[in-house]
Amino acid sequence: MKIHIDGKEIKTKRPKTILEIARENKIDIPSLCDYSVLEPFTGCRLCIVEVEGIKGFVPSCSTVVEDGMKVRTNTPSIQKMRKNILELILTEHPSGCLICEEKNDCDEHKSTIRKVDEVTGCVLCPNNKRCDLQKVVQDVGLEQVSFPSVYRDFEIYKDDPFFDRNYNLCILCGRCVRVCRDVRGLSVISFINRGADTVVGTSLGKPLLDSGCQFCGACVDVCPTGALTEKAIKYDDPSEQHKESVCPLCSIGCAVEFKFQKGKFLNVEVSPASTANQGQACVRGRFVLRDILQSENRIHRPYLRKNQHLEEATWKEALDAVSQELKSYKPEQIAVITSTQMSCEGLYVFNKFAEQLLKTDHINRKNLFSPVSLISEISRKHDIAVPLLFKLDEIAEQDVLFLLDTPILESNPVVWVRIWDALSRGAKLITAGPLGSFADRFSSQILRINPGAEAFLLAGLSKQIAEKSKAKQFSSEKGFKDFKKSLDEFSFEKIEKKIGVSPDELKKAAQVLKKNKKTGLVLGTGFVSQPNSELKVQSLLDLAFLTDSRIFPVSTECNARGWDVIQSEFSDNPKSLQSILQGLRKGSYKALITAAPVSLPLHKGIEFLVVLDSYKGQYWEEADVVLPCSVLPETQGTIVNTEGRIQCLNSPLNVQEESKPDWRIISELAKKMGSKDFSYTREQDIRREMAQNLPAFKDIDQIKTRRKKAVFLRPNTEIRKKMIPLDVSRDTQKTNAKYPFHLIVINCLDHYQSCVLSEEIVEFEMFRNSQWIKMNTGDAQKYDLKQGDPVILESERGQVKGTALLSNSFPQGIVTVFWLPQRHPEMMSWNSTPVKIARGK
Amino acid sequence: MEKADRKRLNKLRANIIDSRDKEKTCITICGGTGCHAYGCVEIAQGFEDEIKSQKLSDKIDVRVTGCHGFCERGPIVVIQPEGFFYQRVESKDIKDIISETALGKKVLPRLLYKDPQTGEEIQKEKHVPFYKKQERIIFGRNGFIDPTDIKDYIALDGYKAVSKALFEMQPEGIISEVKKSGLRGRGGGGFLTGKKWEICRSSESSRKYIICNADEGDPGAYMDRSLLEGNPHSIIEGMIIGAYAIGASEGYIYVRLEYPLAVQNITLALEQAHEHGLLGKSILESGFDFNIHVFKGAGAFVSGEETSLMSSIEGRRAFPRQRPPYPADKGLWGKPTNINNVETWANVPLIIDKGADWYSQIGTETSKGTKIFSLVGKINNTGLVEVPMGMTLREIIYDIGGGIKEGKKFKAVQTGGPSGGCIPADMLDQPIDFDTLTRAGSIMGSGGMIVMDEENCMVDVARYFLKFTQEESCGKCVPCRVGTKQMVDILTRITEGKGDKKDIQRLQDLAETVKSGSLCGLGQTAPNPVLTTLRYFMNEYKAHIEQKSCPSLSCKDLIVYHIDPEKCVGCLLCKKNCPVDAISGERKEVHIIDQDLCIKCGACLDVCPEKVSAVSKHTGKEKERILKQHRKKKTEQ
Repeated sequence: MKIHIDGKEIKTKRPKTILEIARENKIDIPSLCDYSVLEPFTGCRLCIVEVEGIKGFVPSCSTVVEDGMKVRTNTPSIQKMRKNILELILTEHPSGCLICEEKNDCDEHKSTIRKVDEVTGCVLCPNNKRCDLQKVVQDVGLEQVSFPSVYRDFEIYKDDPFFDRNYNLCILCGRCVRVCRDVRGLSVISFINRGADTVVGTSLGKPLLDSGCQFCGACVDVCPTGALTEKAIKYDDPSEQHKESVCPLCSIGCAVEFKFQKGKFLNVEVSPASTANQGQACVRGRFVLRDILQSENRIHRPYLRKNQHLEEATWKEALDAVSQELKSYKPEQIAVITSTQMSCEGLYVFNKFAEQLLKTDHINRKNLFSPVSLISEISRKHDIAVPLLFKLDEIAEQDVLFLLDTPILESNPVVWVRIWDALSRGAKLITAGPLGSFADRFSSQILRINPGAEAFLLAGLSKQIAEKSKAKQFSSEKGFKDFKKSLDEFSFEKIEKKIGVSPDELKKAAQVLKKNKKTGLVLGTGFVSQPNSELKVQSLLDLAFLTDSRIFPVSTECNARGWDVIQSEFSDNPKSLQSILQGLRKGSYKALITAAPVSLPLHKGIEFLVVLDSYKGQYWEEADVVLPCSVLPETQGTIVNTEGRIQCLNSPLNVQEESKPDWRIISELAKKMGSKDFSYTREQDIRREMAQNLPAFKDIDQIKTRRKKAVFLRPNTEIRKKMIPLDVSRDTQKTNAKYPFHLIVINCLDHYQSCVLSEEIVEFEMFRNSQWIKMNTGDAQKYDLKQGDPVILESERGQVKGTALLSNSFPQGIVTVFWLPQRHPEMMSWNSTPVKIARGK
Repeated sequence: MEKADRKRLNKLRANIIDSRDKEKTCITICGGTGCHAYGCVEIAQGFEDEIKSQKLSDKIDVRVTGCHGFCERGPIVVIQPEGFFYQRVESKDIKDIISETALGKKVLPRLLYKDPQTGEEIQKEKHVPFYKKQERIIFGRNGFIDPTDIKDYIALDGYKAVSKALFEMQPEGIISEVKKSGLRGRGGGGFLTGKKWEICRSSESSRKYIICNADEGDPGAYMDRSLLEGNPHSIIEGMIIGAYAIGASEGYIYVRLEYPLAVQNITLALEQAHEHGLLGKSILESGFDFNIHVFKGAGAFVSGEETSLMSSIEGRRAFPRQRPPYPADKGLWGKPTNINNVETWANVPLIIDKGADWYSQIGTETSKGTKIFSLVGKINNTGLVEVPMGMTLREIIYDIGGGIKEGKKFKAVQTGGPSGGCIPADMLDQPIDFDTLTRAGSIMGSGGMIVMDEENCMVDVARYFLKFTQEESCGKCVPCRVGTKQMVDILTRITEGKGDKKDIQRLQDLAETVKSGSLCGLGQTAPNPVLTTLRYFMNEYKAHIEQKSCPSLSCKDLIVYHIDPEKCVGCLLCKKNCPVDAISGERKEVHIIDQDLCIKCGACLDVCPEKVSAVSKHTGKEKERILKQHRKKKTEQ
């Protein structure tokens, strides 16, 4: 269709708003409330235009063009109206500087008085020079305000972490309210009061910390004024330069921008680039990453044990020592532990090193806590193939989502954003698990099951579907008969007893899962963290076949996907971390090289310990050699996100002091040990080799040349369906007099290498302390425990310490802890085991 | 209870009529909100107790009905079938009414309404001047119906129109009938109802909604409330017909929580309609399914705006949104929705039952039918009046309303609620319809009519109404949220005598910005009181700004109270009644007001005996003179 804007003929195919088209064609229409990812709000009224044939003004942000429309954007009457409206906006906003005749020369003369919190003009405002309002005043050409302006004298909220809120600067454009509700699905903030008293606030004026805020920072990013400002950069000048990179703090790999001002690293913001995260991020990338990368606990140079003492050493000394020492052990005496937070290049080189030089296969190459690797393993066993790579966009396209026992809002907030997309489009949500979750409030059905009963729930749902459908429907499915037979004995009464959900509830859920076209089963970080995880995966696969659903396994750490592929390429019979730990416990190994922050049973037999880490973890001082790794954003390494998207970190930061990228450390060690096969000078050299040797990584060498275009793992497109018979005879673990509570382990991914986010950053500790052990207030009272008291949880398998966090609404008989590798590497498998509570010291 | 099909409904109606003895005496007591306030509940109970104790229930029925409209004279009792009209009835009158009127068929003169002009005692309701000129096609049935009993409504041909619509008409036919009738939306906009239905019908969707807007928020307006309370089935019937015509399967009645009786009666009525097969699956066995939900609003004025109302039903803050898309395209939950006001829905059964030709005879060329106004303010007969469109303001105010209180001079009437305009005395002979009101700078609105006399300062009136809309602004768009606040500030300044000459221009500019810049109807009409008072009462603004005087002697900051020493007899009355002890002077001495202490409450003026009349109000130069004199005296002391 053709339209005319200010006499200029413009052609457009899609129906868009006048404002969108004007912006595409460089026609400037001022606006304050419009924001690209948000629905039109039409509150600021600045984007008004005139359309031939329509009386009065129309807001261009919400008016969709029609063929032949004639639009005028800047007539004298529009200009006058805009000025009048802008004047009204400025009566609610400290406007002295905005219309000051000397504002252009002000910078030369003003003193540094910005640290006062009472912002009475732009020179005192943290948002100075970043402000949309400043730009609009300039564009509209407003030079005076003819009404008295009122300082509304709202309290300035500074007690919440990460950002401050000063609603005296707020122009009520509603961007923050809308992004929180429409994009993030949280509705933590809202408009309150009416008329001239309207303001943005939380429910009952509580702090954000008590209002369910996840501190994703989306509101700060969309705020056009200085009302919402990041504490960390509040008093800095605006950034002049930025570098694109990727956040390494979870498996989404959000595209972020590292901001700099005169070479100084300011902060990390979300990149508007259209990648996995679609311009959204979370508290870790937006606010925490900056501080942990610059932590005081970074290891800056190699350390070597000399005369019983760990002392600083040169790289030469350290690598010489390692290469010498390793030669003195037999291959089976050496164990290697890799981490899912290493780069692909590091992992490849590490595996090659172990294979060629150490000749050991005592390396963890199987991740029992990764849904992806467990599903692939079990699929292989049963000669099944299901697609496990997916795009986050696909989640948003589902009609029904089944969310199984996963704290998705906490572990992967960006995945929740996409689930919310689906719900906003009208998708149905079913949630299941022993605990309530945030997602429950949007759930059409909540299946509150007994702890540890997930596998039986899935089996029960499959049974419902298999038995209550017309016989013919599934008879052609391979293995259907055996599958059905395996559940013959598993009556609905038994199921109810085991899972705690009535047959009617089960039937209702089964009907929703069965009836709809596009169904997705979303598995989060906690999915396979259980003793009967094999049955869980089997029943999941059966349910997926019966309902024709997609499985969306969300990976845990930043390179868990890449790790799975690389590690499995190096061994046909991979060992798990658990088996290495078992070996350590038995005293099978004499030397250990570890790049993962796991707490280790070191009491037996380890003579030589090499640690690769960026941070001084809890046992770094016990090492014989410490080799300082650069953090990922200091490298050109790549990581693979949960979609299989291979992303380069692009080294936005310089390598700190003497630390080196993981791959370089191993390569140099290999060279020291006499190999000529490790002469890599940069990441690209390794990628070229990977592309040749690893089929799934065939495209990884295109990373450099095709940076703009996304590069993915080569997917396995094969699909082979077969129903698996289920052995449901095992029981869930029951509590008893000695261990009266069920333990639920939650993996929120709050660590990077040895750095625990809540230990490193006080503000994050306020938000989510990894030490928290959450329990019902009444339960706690029985042990005379109060909020913040030290607690010890003990099970047959070990103990965990933490701090009591009490809640009235939390279910009785359950306690939760956050999983951290440094806490206990096997703790994830303790999920739903019985524990007892004791007061700690 | 067995659900009725069409034939059974007719039979039921015949049975009800047959079972009722037309000649049996029925004491009807108005149960409207006004009469409630006057204590009608106790009176109704009194009648029932008395009839029970005298064992007269086979001779006399008692019925608490909906609002009769003449709220000024409540509690109202009408004895049928004769129609004897008693007003200001008290509990002590109950026995007499039963023995004299109900049994003896004699009137009690002391309870009759006396024409204030002629002094004539009027026996029957229809002869009371307040009712005589009204044409109560919508509201008239209120007086005969017990709103808690569906049978009363059915007996008065209730649900006949639904039966006709479902079995004898096609949806298109209904729409064309409503279009032909010329019915325009009674919520204020005045859009052609049939046209609106047609647009919604033509929107393609598997699901459509209709809504009854009962979020009546104008101060002083209560006609929707009285209809919901007094005749809920007429609204339900209208909605069923509308839903059938549009193709909607669900309906909402959005009523404010502050109307508890309305909520109660409409909820009960919905239950009864369900029981009789008039709602739910296959209404009257016609195959048409339709359900109605009651949604209780939290009472924000802006919720009356259609898009805010829908936002509120969806569980969000009542924020309006830009149209287009119009509700007929994307309304409630994003589906095509038709929303009409209570009174509009109540008109629909009449049009279907009696035909568009009958209906369109009433009213003017462009505005058909009747309109209910709530007549309040400085008027003798406060109440709800239903008149044909095109009646003049003078007829409404003087003939029906009985003129201005205490014989004072009429100054202006504010129509259409707080966002309407003030119409001056020289326009009293204007016929009232949608278009004339718009031309006068006002609106029909939902039908509020606030009458003002010579003592009302028009600047203050404009400030008052604007302050209301300003406080009720939702805060979403800038012109309404900030613009109205600036206007209120300027008006306040003027009424305090601090206005300057540029203020009038500022007001006019701001009014223009708010009117054409605002997002929804609330903002777009908010400046009307200011614009109309500027247009018709500019002299008052000028007096306030230039002479610092308030010609109506109303703005406190611009007046003084003064005791005329020539007239004061020193009776101490004013001194005793002054709440701040600002009056001095002993018995038989001339009293003097200390202007520094006076808070201008007017108590002295109120208590000064009429024959003395020593206290008076002054403004402008006279005020300055008095203050000067006062200061001079003070310095002398």
